[in-house]
Amino acid sequence: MWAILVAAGAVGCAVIAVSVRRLLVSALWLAGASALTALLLYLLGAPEIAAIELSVGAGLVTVLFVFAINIAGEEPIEKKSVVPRWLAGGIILAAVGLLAFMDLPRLTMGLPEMAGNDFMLNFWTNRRLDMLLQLILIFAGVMAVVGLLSEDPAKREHKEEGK
Amino acid sequence: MIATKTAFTLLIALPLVAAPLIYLIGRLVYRSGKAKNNPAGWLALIVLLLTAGLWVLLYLRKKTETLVLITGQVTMAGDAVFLLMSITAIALGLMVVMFSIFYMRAEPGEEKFYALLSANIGSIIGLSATTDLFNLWVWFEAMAVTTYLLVAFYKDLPGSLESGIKYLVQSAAGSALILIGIALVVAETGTLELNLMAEMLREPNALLLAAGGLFLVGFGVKAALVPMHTWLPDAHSQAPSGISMMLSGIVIEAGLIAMLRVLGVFLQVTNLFGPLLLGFAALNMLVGNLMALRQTEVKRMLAYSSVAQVGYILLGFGTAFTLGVSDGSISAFFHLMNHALMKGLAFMAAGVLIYTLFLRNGSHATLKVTDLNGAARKYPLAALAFSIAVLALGGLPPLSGFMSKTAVFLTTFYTLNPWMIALVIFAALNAVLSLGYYAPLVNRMYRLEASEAVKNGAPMPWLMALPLILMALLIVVMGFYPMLLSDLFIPAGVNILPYAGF
Amino acid sequence: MNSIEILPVVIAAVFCLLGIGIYALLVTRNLIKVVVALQIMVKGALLALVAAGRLAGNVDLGQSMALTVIVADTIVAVVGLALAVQIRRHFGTLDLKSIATLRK
Repeated sequence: MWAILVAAGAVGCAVIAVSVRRLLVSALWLAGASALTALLLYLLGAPEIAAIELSVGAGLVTVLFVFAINIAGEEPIEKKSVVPRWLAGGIILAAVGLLAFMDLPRLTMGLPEMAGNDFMLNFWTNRRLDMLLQLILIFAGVMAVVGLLSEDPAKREHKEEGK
Repeated sequence: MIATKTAFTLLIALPLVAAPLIYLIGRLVYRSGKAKNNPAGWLALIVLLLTAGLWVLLYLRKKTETLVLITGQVTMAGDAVFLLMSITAIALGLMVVMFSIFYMRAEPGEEKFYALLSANIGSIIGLSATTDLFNLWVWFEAMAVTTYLLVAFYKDLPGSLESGIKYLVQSAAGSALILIGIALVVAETGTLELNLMAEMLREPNALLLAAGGLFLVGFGVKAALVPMHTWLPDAHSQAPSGISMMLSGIVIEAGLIAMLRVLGVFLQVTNLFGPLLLGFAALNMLVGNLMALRQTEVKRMLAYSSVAQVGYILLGFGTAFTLGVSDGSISAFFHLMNHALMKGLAFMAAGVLIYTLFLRNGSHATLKVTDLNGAARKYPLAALAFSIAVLALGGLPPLSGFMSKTAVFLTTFYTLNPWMIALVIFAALNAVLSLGYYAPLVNRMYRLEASEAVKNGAPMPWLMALPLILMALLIVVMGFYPMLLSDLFIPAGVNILPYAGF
Repeated sequence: MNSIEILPVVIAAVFCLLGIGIYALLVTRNLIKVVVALQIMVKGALLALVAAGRLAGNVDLGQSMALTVIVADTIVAVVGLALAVQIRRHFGTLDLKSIATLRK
């Protein structure tokens, strides 16, 4: 029973996160969705990744959102959307519905027993390369943030010229 | 002599490991004030030359040895597709660096540009070698993340920021869809190894079709399949010209190859994806050409032309995937290499004009079609190179673009399938249509009076001439000797269809 | 709760999160909420990967993939937020529609 409640809670938080107007509130509901996702991961038998998701997804990312919203500021934007809502909703419902319909019959077979697991060992030996590549991702991410946010006094002069 | 395995590891690792070093050295030397200009560009040039040297070494060894590198579960295979994609990335990267040394000079954060460029080339090399589905996603993501800043490099220009956020959001949404696809495949097969997967998949089922569809859409964002192409014209036109060359010449193609590698596995199960690719080919050609016709900015026009050119490449691959004729994929790889050359040269020549007409005068204005008027008199080399590039793109004989485009059309035609023949006729009409925007550009440069911008233009730096001449020469030579690089694209074309069972 | 019943629940959650994320991407105009929408899509993908690993009898495989995905998408979120902040600095707004200056 727990799983159903947790899953419904995560989806509910996600719905609220995208529908509230205040950004800060939205970020907090996202953190809620993230925490409940982590709990669902735990129930799935993945305690390690649940802990990481809880600290990174619900913790770190939320802090980053709060930072960004602090700098950028709250801004109420009128609700009129780019794509008509009924059209967007219809397309998504059709596409995801089709996807779910195609997958559900195969995926609802029973689960195999859990093998004795050692997540970190598996990660460090079998998926070593993915781990190394994370360094590249982090490097590129740091470059991007530094590059975008650094204030260079010399650069200010020809701002917005010729556009 | 170094061992083959070491050389293979180095080829993949060198541009990636060098990236932070380029940044650090460039930053420290420039900050210390000892050097007048930032050394980062020259460092990147050296790194890429070394990488190219390693590639040549591996290419020679490949004749007698197989290149395989295993780390844990992940296998990197140096097959023919890898050799082709990596040398295209490295060679184009070399041209970009040579061109950018003057183009990017005095931009703040120059060292970040070269560091990310090097990391980007490294991730394309890795992407083309891996045979592990999830590892492929990680390389793919690395390729995307390294380009985000490069696209929005002019962080004080509104257009640049707007294209950056569009690119980021669409790429990120696409890669989330790929992840769901990976999850479905893992649930079905329990493995991530593409070769193993191909052996395990025997009968079609709805789950795998859904996964294939997700891969098609997810990778399709990066490969600019219409209608997932909307980020492309913005990103390609707003990025620094060197980055436009990279994005157009190799990054979208790398996305396409990643998609084909994955979809190749599904060929056992279903023959649905070949015709789908052909459908996208037709859409891409039509939309790309029609949109290019109405553009007034040069780089935006070239960007839409890339959408159309992806269509021609897809036509070849689609034929191969539908009917199992490796001729289709061979000619598609031929056109892919040619496109990197032609579009690279076109963006570079446009970049030379942007540099001499605007950047040198401290302006970040966009290059309008009308600014090209009379450019040939003052910038004969740039105008000639630009003309060669766009005429080759338009498929004018005897340039290389004509050869590869004809090769794609002919292989599709010789399947003698009525649908295919109709598609070839449609593609040929599109090729004629494309001359409708390429030819006037040439006309403007040679026949019209010099525009205001050209009259006030600065002289062209010497270093820009070298890559212009090299690439223009290669286009002309490949027109006369189309089989010059056939050792690369013929094995690659056979290689991409390994599990087809045709 | 035994594990045989949890899987349909998780799969339903995956598709719901995915749908909500894409829907929000299409209708939202605020840049920071666009990043929120991306994060929601990725939560769905995370659940899907771990569930797939579990289904294939190798939950560690799913966890290993999920770890890399968390790192990668946190970075994407950070870069996205940095872009949003920079856009706010230059345009004075986070509204996607009012920053659209590039022609079709």
